[in-house]
Amino acid sequence: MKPSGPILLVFWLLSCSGVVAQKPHAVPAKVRFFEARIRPVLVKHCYKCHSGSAKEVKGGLRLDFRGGLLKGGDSGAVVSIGKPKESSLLKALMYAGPKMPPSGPLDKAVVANFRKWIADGAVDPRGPPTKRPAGAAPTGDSGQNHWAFQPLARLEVPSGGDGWARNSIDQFIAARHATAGLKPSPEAAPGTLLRRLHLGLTGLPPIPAEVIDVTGDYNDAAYEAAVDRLLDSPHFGPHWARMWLDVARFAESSGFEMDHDRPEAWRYREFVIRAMNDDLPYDEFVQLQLAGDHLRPDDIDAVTATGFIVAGVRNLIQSRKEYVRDRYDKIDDMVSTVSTGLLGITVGCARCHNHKYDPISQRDYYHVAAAFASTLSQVRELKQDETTVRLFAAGEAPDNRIEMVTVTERLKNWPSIPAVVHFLPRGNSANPQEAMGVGFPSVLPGGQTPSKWTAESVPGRVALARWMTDAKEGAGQLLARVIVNRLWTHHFGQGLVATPSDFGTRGGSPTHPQLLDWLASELIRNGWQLKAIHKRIVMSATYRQGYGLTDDGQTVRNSKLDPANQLCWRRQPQRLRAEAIRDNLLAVSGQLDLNGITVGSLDESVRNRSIYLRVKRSRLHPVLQLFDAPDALQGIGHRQTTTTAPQGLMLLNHPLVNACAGAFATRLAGENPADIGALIDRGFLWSLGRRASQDERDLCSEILEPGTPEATRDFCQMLLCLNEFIYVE
Amino acid sequence: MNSQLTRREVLARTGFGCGSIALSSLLNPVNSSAANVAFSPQHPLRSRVGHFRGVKNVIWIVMNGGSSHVDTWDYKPELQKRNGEILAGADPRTGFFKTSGKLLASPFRFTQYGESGAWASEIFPHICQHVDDMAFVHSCYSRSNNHSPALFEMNTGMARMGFPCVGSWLTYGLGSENDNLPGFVVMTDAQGRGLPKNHAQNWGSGFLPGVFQGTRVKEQGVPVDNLLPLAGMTPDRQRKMLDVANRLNRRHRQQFPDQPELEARIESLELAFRMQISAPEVLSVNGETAQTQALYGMNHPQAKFFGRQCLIARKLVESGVRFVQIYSGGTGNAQSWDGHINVDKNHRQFAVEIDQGVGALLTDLKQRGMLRDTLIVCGGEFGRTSDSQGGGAGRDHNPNAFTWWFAGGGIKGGVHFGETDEFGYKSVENRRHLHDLHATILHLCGLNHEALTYRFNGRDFRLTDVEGEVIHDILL
Repeated sequence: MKPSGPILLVFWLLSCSGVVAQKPHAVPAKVRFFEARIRPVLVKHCYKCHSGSAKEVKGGLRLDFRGGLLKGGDSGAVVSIGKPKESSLLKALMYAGPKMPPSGPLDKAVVANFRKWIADGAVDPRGPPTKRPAGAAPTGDSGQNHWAFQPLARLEVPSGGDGWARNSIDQFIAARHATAGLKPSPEAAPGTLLRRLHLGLTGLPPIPAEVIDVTGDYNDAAYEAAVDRLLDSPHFGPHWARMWLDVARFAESSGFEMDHDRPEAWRYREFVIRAMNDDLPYDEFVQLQLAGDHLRPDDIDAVTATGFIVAGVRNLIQSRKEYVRDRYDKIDDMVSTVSTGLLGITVGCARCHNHKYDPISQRDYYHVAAAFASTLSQVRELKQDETTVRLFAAGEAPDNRIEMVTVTERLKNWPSIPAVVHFLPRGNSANPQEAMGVGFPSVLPGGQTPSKWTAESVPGRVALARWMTDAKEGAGQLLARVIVNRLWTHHFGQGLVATPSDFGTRGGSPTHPQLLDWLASELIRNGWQLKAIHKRIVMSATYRQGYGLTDDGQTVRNSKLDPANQLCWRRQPQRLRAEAIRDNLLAVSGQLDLNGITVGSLDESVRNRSIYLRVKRSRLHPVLQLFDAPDALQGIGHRQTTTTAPQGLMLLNHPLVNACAGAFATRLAGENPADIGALIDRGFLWSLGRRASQDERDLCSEILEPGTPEATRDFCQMLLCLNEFIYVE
Repeated sequence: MNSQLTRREVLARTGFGCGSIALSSLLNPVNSSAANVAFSPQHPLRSRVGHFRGVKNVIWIVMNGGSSHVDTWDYKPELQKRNGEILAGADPRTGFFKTSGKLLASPFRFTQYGESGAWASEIFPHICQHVDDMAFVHSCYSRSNNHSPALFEMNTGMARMGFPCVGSWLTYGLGSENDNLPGFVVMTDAQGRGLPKNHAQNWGSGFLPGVFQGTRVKEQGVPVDNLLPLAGMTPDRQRKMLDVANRLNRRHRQQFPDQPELEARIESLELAFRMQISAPEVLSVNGETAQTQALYGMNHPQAKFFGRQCLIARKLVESGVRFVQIYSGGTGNAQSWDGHINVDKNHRQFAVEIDQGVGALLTDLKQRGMLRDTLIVCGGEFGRTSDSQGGGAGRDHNPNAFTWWFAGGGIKGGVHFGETDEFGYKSVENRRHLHDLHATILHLCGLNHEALTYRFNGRDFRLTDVEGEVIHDILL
């Protein structure tokens, strides 16, 4: 699609001159008015007596479908279209004549809305009443044919990409290039590639010796050797674990008023780091996080893994009035995290009503919720070689009852409720209906035959874990799609599906559906080993591309055809994530302590990698926050990258930057302070992974001229302020 | 040499940057950020025009802990007459602890003020001079009777964690008028009594980008993180360092013509440099006359702390900061408006602290002609019960009834909207939930609360969830 003048102008105006609201899919204004102003009032105040769900329909009047509303009740029509004054419905609402609702008159503004609605034609899009129970799955919904709910396509790798393609990924990419008229950009320079690889796989920069090694004698074998070395590096895990901790909304405190510390929660972080380093098969990784406590109750790692389920917030001061609702909120947090994080489906949207866009019913929601009916966070103790290990993990409620939680001593006889999930019309916990059994979204594979996985004797989370990782009959194929897309997203800055936690109808469509399915199939075929996928990605010619030369005709053509680079014809610079920025400041200045620590630290002066800083919800790390680290409240698949002045202030004035600039200067000066040219070169090699050009040397000499230690320090801080330092090309 | 960008240059360049982003969003709707406001991640705080005309800034005074409506703005003669009598239909579970079911008359004297004849208790002698400019919503209600969720509900509309607060939504929708300051500033107790319950989580941005979270201006030391140059660093050295960085950054930028974020980053470093000078000026009251300082109570031993914060709030909105939130009171129950034990003592103490400053803020903004562009909001997370807690002199939490007041741009002065019952126990006429108050705040700022949305995990979220009605009766 080519940008045309008028479109560009219009959009520019919209975007710069005002807030652009998303129009809800061109629904006519009158229908929107009905949905927003009328229907909720009918549901809340009238349905109890005037709908199919009423125990006894009063006065023969049904207000829950258009036909009923128009037909009226025993005493005749209640709505006269276009004529509010003649409509007895309005009179009743005004308490003139029959008084409705009986509980008391509605607000004047609400009544005025009804007047307007009737005057405007009483538009009501509701169809005839259905026989299915409230909240059951809609039928005949086109959403069921949505790509993400289909099995993986069986694919031949396309031919093509001759002379450029290095592996199958490239052949898929080249096929799309060919149809779009794009040509790939030339491979980036060896030094650039090495820095990209290091930062991409470990989040740490190459050291000058590595740069000189590789760039001095660069060939394919050297590149592959670097890839293997970095995939095996112990620093791989701490970098890639962070990606997962975003999804898991990991933190080491409870949130809310008390924000109690969870001093045992670090073990989950450690589990994820180790799983990444050891390349724990992803299906097992998922199973343990959902149900490790049941699957291997004596295995510390397995129990620790369930920290995933319970990493969310928990209010430890509940009032009697709201502890039941609080319990459903807690379950909702688990349902939402699991469904978006693992399957990319937004089941959480169906808590109060059927999903508005995806074929996920409210009953689906409560079936999934039932898997967590008795799940609680617990501090558990397990024996390991004579010592007792304390874990923050999931467990089932004792005596199958959920107790109210409060630290207030004055309450005696704490109330409790049975650990059962009820169907809640409109999500209202004050109105529990039937108890729900464990099940799965019916639109997904196996969703209509849950009994293959569930049974009385199988704990709900175990059934969920087995179904989700079952690539033959369960949701395993979708599980694979979602994780390979997460890997792609982090390697390239944008995913094959742009919304990594939403593969629903409102999420992004895959730019390369075949490649996505092929990668997912490869993952399943190779026993769910993620490192093999990483290797394929970074070995590809697609990954190794440069930005393209700016004065080159092909680049100009490409950028007109696909300005957003959706089809991967170039590599765009990516800003380092918050943790990597801090780690790099410490690394280039020789300050980084690569050791892990157990309980995360709140001390801002520690020099360990950022993943070991404690995530305390009420005291999030200020530097990481500045650079868009998440707040650990809901699972996040894709961080925003913002550019702000406070980030600049941090690089100018933060004590950490000061310490790093000083240490960096010492590191540089220590080798041969007199030779300014060599000093500049070393500074560039450490911080940017390349030597300085003559021009750059001249520019930098301006700072270094005084020849003082302050000058060297300022030069070092200047390097840390460079775009090239915090952007990976 | 290109170090000091003029404002015009910045605007010209940023206009370009914005256009590029918009274009890529248009051609590539899937890959655009999930945001439904045309905010650019490279210039997230750039001022944006709302859906319609509105005020420029908001100052929200938070009655942290839940002030009592029947002891402040909701005068109930029947309650005064029938002290100690049984409150028919009282629900002992209304509050967090257990209430007695026996009416507790207000210990304060009520008088009528202004042409509108508004009843107000004696504890706000300064603020009550402004009743003809204030609009009261007496029929507020919320859902939680527990501080932590209630504070989240007050700030975000949801009694759970993880949602953006009003200030975040507003800066997301409108950006800010001043590049050199944060768009959303929070001030908390200046007397060492701690942050409100939930701490910084109260002003979090939830799933909105982190840049929209509140920035706390600290009471002591450096008011904003990293604002002042390091010891030993001179302006000349810092300037020289930035000049070289700028030139290297521009050379780097030329290799990536389609990446406006690189340009934005260059600008952000320059903005940071300028903030070191501009922000401390705004955050200091030294430049104010003795008369102004006295107006704000800065000579009064108890009123001076909050008074100073009110004065800084005026300076902030004068400088174009979009949203300022000031919390009255600290963490513990007795250190906030949470008068469980003795409402007389508790409310007198906190009223003295804020009365003069808030009154001065209204006077000062009006004198300067700023009140028409500024919205003042005053309210807390819930009200308090009309019956006593455990038969004592205190009141428990009451989410079923409380009063918020508004003043400033777009507000019809002297209006009283909604009513509680004769004892102030429950809102009965024109009940309004916090969603409605939020909708009204957005409306006054020129934003349609149903159209200000953000796509997160498959859903277009709003501040008002699926509810919210603007309270038109209090609007001009």
